[in-house]
Amino acid sequence: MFGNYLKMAWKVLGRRKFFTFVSLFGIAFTMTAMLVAVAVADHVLAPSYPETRLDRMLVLASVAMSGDRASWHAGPGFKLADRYARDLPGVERMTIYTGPSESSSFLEGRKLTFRTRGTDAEFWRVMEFAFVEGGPYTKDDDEKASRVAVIGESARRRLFGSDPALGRSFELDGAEFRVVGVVRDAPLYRLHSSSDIWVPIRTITAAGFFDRLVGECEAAFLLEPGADPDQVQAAFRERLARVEFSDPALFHTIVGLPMTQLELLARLGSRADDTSPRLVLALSLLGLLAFMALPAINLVNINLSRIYERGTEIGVRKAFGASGLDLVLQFVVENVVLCLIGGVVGLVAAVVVLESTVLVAADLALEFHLNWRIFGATLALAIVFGLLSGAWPAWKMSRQHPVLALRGGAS
Amino acid sequence: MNTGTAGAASGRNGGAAVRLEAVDKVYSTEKIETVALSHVNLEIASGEFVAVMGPSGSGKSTLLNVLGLLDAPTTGRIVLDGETVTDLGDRRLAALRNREIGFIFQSFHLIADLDALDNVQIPLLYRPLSSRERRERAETALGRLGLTARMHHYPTQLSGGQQQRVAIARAIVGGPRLLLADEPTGNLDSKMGEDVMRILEEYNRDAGVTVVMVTHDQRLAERTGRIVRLFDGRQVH
Ligand SMILES: Nc1ncnc2c1ncn2[C@@H]1O[C@H](COP(=O)(O)OP(=O)(O)O)[C@@H](O)[C@H]1O
Ligand SMILES: [Mg+2]
Repeated sequence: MFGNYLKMAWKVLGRRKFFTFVSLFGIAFTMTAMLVAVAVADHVLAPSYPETRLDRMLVLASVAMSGDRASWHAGPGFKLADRYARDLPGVERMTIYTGPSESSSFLEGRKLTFRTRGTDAEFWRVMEFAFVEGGPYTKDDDEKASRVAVIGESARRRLFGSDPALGRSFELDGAEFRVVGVVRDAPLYRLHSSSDIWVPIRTITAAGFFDRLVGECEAAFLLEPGADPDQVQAAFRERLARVEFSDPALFHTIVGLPMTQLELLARLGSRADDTSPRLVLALSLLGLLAFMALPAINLVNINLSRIYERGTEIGVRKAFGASGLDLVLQFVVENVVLCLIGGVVGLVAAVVVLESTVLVAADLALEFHLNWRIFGATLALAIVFGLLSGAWPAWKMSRQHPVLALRGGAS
Repeated sequence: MNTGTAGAASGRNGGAAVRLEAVDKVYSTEKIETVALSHVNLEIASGEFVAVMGPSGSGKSTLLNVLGLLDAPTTGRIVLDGETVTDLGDRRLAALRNREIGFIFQSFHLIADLDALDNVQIPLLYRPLSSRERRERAETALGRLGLTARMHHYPTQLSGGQQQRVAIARAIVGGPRLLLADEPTGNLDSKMGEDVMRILEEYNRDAGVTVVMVTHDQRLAERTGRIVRLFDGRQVH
């Protein structure tokens, strides 16, 4: 029986080439958009160079400090991370670093701009960069505020051409830095590590930088294998309750939590607060689902019109003995076949889109490629969409009275 | 009277007997109620050839659809071969239509996406047959209607008369015991209409199949065994 439905589907799809083409186009387009989204999400969320242990990392990226009349939302300040975030239970290593900020360098009268991060020495033991020259700066370098730097390969090319850079010096925001290491470039979307140049955090000279509770830093925590993020978060919450404020009349409360990558993304754009990361995550997933519902509705629509057009066929089949279930099965099979073909076309288109993005935006060192996870996701999406978008219209149509469907013509 | 469905295999003889008891059919939309059939009592014996006549809108198609178990009466009973079928579920009704009943429509209602052979196979799809068996039976049915050379034509490649013959092949391929034809000659010229009429007569005479045919053509109606006349959903005598 199933083979019959398949054969029938094949015949009908082949016979209605234009309609099949239009449906396929819609399906493939939807699938492409979703696949690209899945691929990007996959690459942002999954551990990859140099955040190879992202799956056991928590990052404290934003905090909110408030008093009776004012509040201040930003990243954690150096002092908050340094004094209150060290040695949390379940944490193997912890690093403090700044977000990438723009610095400039004058080279033979030309101004070059670079993204620069200040980091402690632990940074290089939490992130796993691949050094092509030299190595990271040390704790000693950082404590002495030595003007040394690790640079990325593309920064090396811009500063020194094709020559090795180890031991050479360059000017950065008016000071001279010596290259101690060169690393393979990190993709732009590695939010906690990517930069052009990394320097010891204690070389930062901005006034008050090391005394702030709220500022431009981030702290990343590498958890011990098997450690429970909830417990780390709870321990950090307790630490925050003990924070000493320099002027309690102005600020007396501070909130913010180290979060997983998923929790961070879920909160993207919203401010630090004390709401459970789980809740925010659940809400975001719901939002995402609603977003995914749009293409699904689009597909239902395509199929609805495809199936409505065939009211007479449905009437005829019912008249000659098809039950409601038979009809639903027939249209669902037809639809799943269509969605699978659309899925394959969409997959190919997504590969083209992703790979050409990687090529066009070579500077960003993006690494969006398809993998088995994404292939599996496509397959699942195609089948789910095929079922959903076929079953409902078919069920609806099979309810419709055969007599109505056959009315066109029988006076 | 044949009261069972035993011997339902190919070439079975004897037509079905149907009885409508006090059948009303009312179509209700939001605003209006249309009484399409009003208190119809009709007994059709096995092997009869009945013509249904009446002006447009008098309920002829509705009557056929009710007889064919496609449309449930609002009130009243349908008895098919001694069994009350009024309260059967969707799947049982579908199975009964599949085994016992063949439909022929004025506008043929062939599926444009399928060729003649596939169109004729439709009733067989809902039976546990091998695809080879289905194909062979469909070929035989098309052969009996002189369409062997047209098996792989699509409906748009066939004349009206040929389309109606494909539709008849589809209606008889499963060996039904009741043929319901709703103005089968209405869209055909008189020569092709005569062909179709002769096929129905032959089928009624040779296989003993019960035939109910709606027609506007007095001369065709007079060739049947009995004429049932409807006016405003009522039987008139
Ligand atoms: N599905 C329907 N909904 C509402 N009214 C209907 C429907 N089908 C038929 N009717 C009405 O029922 C009456 C009988 O229709 P029909 O049986 O098609 O007549 P005939 O075949 O004799 O021309 C007509 O008034 C028609 O408008
Ligand atoms: Mg009619």
